[in-house]
Amino acid sequence: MRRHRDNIFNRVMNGYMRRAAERALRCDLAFNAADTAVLLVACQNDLFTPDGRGNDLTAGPEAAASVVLTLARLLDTARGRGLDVVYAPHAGLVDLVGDKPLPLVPILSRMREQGLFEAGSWGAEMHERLAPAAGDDVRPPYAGLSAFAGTGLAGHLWAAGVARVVVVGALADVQVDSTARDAVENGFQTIIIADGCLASSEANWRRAIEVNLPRLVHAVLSGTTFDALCRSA
Amino acid sequence: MTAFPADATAVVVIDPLNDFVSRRGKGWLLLRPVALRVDLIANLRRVLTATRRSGVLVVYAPHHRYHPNENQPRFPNPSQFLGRRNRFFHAGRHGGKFHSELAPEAAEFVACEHPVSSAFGGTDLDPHLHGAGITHIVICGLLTNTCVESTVRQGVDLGYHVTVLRDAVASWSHRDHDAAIEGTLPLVAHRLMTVAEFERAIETMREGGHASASG
Repeated sequence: MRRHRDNIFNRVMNGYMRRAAERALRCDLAFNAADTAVLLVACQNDLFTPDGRGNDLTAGPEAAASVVLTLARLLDTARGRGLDVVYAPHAGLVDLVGDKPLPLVPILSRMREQGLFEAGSWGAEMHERLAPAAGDDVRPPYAGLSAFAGTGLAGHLWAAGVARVVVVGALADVQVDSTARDAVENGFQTIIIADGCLASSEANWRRAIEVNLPRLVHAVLSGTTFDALCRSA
Repeated sequence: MTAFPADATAVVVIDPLNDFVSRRGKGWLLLRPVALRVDLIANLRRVLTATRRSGVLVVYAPHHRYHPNENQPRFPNPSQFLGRRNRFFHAGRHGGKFHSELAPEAAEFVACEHPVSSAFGGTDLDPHLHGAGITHIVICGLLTNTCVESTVRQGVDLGYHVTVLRDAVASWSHRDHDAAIEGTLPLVAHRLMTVAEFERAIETMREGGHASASG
């Protein structure tokens, strides 16, 4: 396929706009126990372990291991600072979103065919290093692309006083992307932790995390930067 | 082979506004490379002509217009921040109006303005489509990786069968456009097709009561 390169005007203008927005929005970033939740999307064995049924749907075991490391550290910080920790597991073998039938899109079809997240199975459980601790909030599993779709998650977070949502997990280009877009739609300040997201491939990680989401979410940060911002809050 | 059901399909046209697609629009210089590469305006016109001739529903989903004194969201996102700063889609002015060749016809439904990026987000689009018995939506317009992709993703979660017309969408750069068309949309949309394929499908539907095209 022919690659199309952007011209110099286009690259300069897009870069300038992006930095201007980043600078302006950065001063609003402050994470504290009062209004911040970390939302872990589909951090389950089937995607995050080498034995998982969906490990061929991800960028691979090394990528998964490195995301787990980032997330384990991030969870320590979040719990230590009293941030809400909310788990949104993906439901297996379900074809309803709320009460509506869901015609499966290609990636969800593959997940279904390979039996990912089958209720009660080991694969549907959270990765052991990312397991919920006492006081964490484990939501009922969601079945579509976004953890907000048909789950009442937005109302639940609003009721808990959450205004800022830090989205991490898998897959960066599928569920994390949809969940982050819906978080923005619902008025939450939405932060993506770049190295806390596992994608379906390295190329799609770059597309979702470096190209698409920076246009829509309030910030894309590294785990280390998030940690530093938490400590300075 | 997948079919478009004749009475349950709608074409959703997102943000065909002057600031994006008119030569005098504020965004045209940035949008131009991808728009010319895919032949955006001509293709959108072909989609509209074929759809209207077939009797399939055309609905419009325009973006939020700029008003000088309106309340601001607590957390404007990058596109809202830049839109406001650049007075993009100024209400009542040229930039906020539909492109003259891509404007809705009298009887066509125009959803209320979407404030973020999804045409479904906080609008009356879903109830309207639902009420009209629509199960399949065909999406075209702007921008490929923001409003179009957000609408695709929410459309899927709302239970629609979603098709994207790959050469009737465009974005700020080849990099943005290709990220969605080659990377993410093939995973999360039911189908991507060209305008030519869409025309054939809708023509077959007129003849046989059903349209088909390979996925």
